[in-house]
Amino acid sequence: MGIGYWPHDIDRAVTTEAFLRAYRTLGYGLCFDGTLEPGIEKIAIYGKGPLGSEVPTHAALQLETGEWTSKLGIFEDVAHTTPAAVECDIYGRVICYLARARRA
Amino acid sequence: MLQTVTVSSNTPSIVFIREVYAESSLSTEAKEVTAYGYGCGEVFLTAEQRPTFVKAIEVDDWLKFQQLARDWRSQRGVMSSITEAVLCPAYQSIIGMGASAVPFMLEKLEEEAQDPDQWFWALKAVTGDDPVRDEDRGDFVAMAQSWIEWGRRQGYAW
Repeated sequence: MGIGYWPHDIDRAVTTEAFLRAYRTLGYGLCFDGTLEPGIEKIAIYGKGPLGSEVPTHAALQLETGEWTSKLGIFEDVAHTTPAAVECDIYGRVICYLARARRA
Repeated sequence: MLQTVTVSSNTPSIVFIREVYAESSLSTEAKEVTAYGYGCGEVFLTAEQRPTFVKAIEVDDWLKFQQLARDWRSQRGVMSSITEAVLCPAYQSIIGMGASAVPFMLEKLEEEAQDPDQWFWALKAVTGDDPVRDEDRGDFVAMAQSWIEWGRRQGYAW
């Protein structure tokens, strides 16, 4: 409906492809996993639906400690040790990891 | 008939004023609520103890909106996806209330101050307007402020 922020020139669609394109405008690219790497900031994208056509539902950010943090809807941010810890019926499962150079 | 209700710390959370007449107005000076208007009205105290005058014909809508807002919070749980959250039945029912829900949503945005909830979707759906500047999209506090200012320009009172 065009309510929140979305980069120009990217389809405003709730699809993995659109999300990956949108995150790319912020400097994120696909990476293999959520392993902690010095100087690299990673996020995990969660989604629901058939393999290959999942609908994005949630994202978690990796902290410098290697823990992950999620904002649970309207509730407070929580820290979790693994991305899988918040996989559930609402968020689905991790469908990909993205990474960019950690900013100061 | 002018009716005055003195609000103290022992006052119940809802103060009813019935059979009051004259132009509607409120004064919160010295914790004293003065409500007078054409027809019946009720004064509700918000969580911040701010009195809100609601005309009798709006009372049912106000109560319905408050219940739906609570239901929406419950139905969405920990959903992160705004797209999913606005499809919850309670949120759709709020949209279904139409223009009567607009001042209640604007009031929510003002109350929620630094952590405004996602009333933007419903406000746009109901009013067909969108006063948010492109550069403010994603900045929920700025978006809320745009809607509050829009509401005042449109003559909404809450």
